[in-house]
Amino acid sequence: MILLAELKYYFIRRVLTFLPTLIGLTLMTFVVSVMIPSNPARLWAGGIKANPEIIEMIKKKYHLDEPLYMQYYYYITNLLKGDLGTSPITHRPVILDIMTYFPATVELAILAEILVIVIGVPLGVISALKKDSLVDHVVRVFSLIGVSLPIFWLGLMLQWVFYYYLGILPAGGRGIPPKVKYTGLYMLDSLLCQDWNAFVDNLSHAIMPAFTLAYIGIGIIARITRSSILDVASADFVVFLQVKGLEKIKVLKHILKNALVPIVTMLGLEFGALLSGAVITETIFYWPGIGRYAVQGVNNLDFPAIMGVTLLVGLVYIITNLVVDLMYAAIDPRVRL
Amino acid sequence: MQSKVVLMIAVIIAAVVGFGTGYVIAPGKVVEVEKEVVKEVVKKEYVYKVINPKIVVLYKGAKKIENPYPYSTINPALYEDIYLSALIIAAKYETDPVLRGKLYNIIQQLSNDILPVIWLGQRIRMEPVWSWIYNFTYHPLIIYSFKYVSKDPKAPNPDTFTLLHDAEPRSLDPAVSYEGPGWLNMHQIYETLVTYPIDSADYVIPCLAVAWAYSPDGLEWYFIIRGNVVFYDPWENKTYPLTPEDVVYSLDRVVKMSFGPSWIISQFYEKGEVLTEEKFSEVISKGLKTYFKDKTATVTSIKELLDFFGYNGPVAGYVKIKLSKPYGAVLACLASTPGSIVCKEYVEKHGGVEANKENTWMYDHPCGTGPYYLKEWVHNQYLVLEPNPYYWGEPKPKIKKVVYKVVPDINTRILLLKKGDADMAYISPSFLGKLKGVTLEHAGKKFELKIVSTGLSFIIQYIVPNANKKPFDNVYIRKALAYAIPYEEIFKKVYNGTLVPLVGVIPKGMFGYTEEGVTKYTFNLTKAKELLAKAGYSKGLGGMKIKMLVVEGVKEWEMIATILKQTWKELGIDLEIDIKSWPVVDKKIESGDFEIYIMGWGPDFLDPDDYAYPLLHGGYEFADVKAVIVSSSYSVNSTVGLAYVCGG
Repeated sequence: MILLAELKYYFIRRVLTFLPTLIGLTLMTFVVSVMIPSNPARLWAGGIKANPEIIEMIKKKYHLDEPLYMQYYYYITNLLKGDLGTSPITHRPVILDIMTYFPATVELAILAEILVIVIGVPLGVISALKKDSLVDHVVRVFSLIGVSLPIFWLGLMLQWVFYYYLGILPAGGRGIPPKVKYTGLYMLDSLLCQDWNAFVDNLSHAIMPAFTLAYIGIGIIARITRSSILDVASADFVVFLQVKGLEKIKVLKHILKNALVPIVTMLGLEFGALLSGAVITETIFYWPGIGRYAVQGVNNLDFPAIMGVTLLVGLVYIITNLVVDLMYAAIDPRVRL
Repeated sequence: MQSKVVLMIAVIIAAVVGFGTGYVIAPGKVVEVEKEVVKEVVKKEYVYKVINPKIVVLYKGAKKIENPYPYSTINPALYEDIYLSALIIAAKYETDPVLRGKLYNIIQQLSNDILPVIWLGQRIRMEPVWSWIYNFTYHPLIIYSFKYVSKDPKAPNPDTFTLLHDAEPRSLDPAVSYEGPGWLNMHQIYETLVTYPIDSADYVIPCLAVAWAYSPDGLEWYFIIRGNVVFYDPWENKTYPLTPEDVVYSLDRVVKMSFGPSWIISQFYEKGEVLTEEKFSEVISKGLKTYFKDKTATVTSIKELLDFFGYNGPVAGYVKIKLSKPYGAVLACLASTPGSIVCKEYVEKHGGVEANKENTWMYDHPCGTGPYYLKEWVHNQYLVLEPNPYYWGEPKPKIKKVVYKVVPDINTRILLLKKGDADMAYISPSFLGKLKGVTLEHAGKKFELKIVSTGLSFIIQYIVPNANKKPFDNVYIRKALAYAIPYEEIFKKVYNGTLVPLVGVIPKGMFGYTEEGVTKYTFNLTKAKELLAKAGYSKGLGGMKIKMLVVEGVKEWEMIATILKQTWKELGIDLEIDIKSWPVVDKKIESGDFEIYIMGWGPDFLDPDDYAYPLLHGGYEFADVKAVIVSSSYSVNSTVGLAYVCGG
């Protein structure tokens, strides 16, 4: 079919832009990180406790005494072999670190995204349908609070109320690891191996940080859904459908389908942002995600870790944008032309 | 000849008197005597009753170090001093404990008088601990030893001890890890040849070594290794016996891998060797020296040595360690975590030893002889330790499960602690006020969260003025600044009472500490202004702009800088607080690109060498340095540079 072929062509074109974008990203990060006035080798050897001979050893080991282009060359050749280097701080291969911490972030992001969709979209729809009613005003105020509230305040408040005061949720962490590890996403794994204990425990641990992350998103999505629906609802074809005598629910279905594009865009970008890790949430609820790993890397000038996380986040955004664009094309045939 | 000796004695006495009162000679200046010195030390006679021994430090071939490295070959203030260098190096390599102690006393006095670094305070360790915890103590090197701890049976989770910290270990390999969380966990799993009693930092006690001795020239140390000790491998549920080969292998390994903490061992360790009983008997028959607590002895047989230590149990073998130079702190370094003994067979089975490369198995699969083993490590979440079923020592651990939980946010730690979901947490002093008056009732018993003072720690806080920048090159200015610090306010308001006065480079409780002959700098603006006048600034420093570098995130240092901004205004200083991230600060203090900064220091091993050397080194090296005790019966007959005359 011509449409599918066009889609495929579109897809291939987009994938081809992957590589130069990633290369540009690594180059930029590399240049910025080596321009910081610092002596990373000394930091890695113990800071003020560092012994000069050990500093020299570290410099040689990480090629810090060689010119920039040589360091970049080593980096790229190792990258092509799938080796992201060893972190001088965690003393583990960076790829292992990422495989340990990224699934935790993915799990939280998925749960937060589900909350955003399940709470945000319906709220937006109700708000649009019952425009200017009390419900509408409440939802709009709720959204405003959502985007203005500092995350750390919300997180600490939730922790204080639900953990300390009421004692019904745990303070943080991920909970009991499921008996078998498939993906690293605890809740998914515990479902797959039917470890119900672990599933409930993991869910109770994830709900507060997920809600903290989702709160802003809920506010935004509610507003976007509302305005998008109102936009579409005032279009000519809707008047036509109503005049034609179509049932209200079917009219609504048509409205929603047409209103989807901005909503989907926002959800996609939201998910990409969530996947890059939410440092504050991860810190408050001691959730071992990629955000905290990245910040720890920056604080210690852990270049292999910083480069690894940058690549990862870059990849995440590129893929997310690609998926969003493809969904665009799937929802709105006009895009494929 | 006779008159020369008399002259020398007279000058010595005059210098001693002058040094004793401290201000006859200008402060910070050391007496330089004639260029004549003892050629060889014939006798070291401690004739305490008749003549007070006098100490002379002799040096030869003094050379200024090119490109000195702060905290390594020069003090952090970059203050150059040939005499300090000679004293510190002589003290480092002196093996006679009495003479060494006196040398460090002198170093303490000078650090207080010359003040290249302004000493701020020494930390007292205050931990928030629930009253259901028994036998919880803090040790300056071992930190905590959980084998002593027990919980009240009515406490929540009586079989589990949960400790909250803000960071996880970077490695559980004693040759690699150079940070607190790693050392803390490894102390429960690995053991060293010698260790400290849990309530004292004054002397080492046998651990994996039951006895030790050293050759009279100090170049060889011998250890008798304890028998019937095993390493426990919980992954294959296997044990390996401790052998003297393991000891040599462990020390060689640390040096070869050459990671952060390896210098602690490589600074004295040249070679290790396993000796047979016959060989060791032969060596010891020539006479070896030993000491334990405050007793010393010379022994000539293995039995005599074991009797001296009161040990008659099984023995696994004998180890000889060869030193590159005689070193005064061998035992203190071997008690430190990099001196942990690992199992040769186990390590060889899992990747062996490669220079400058991490062993990925040893990173998180520790196989030790200690009271606990690693049951589980979920990264950046928690570590679980459980009692080692084959542990040889006493007491056997009572806590069935030790959980080290990683909780980076301090407010979350406080919540967890208050609710009773944790037994103990790492809380910095400025937050201790939030934990007052917290109680909990459980199983019908009332418990209280107590802020327990677990004793003096050797962690010190100090201020470093750059000796190459005006006005800090003048000792009167430095002293004036020391008099313009409101110590009590800082101790109470910033540190909540967890900081006490520090008079010099050596903290209280450490060997070599003295308060004799030191000035107690108190908050006295009048005196400060007098000293400014002496330096030529009778009207104050006239609004001189000075930037104080503070590490981002250390709340206590930011508060101190704010307080100093106010008080130093009285001296005419316009202090600008420059808060920068740790990597940037580290680079600045390494390159000398700073005016003044606040910093802290903690021990790698419990010996004054770990403080005096990095914090006071004067940037000079020598072909030879030695300290000797002079009494009136000496004759002076050769030409070598004379460093010091110091009263003993």
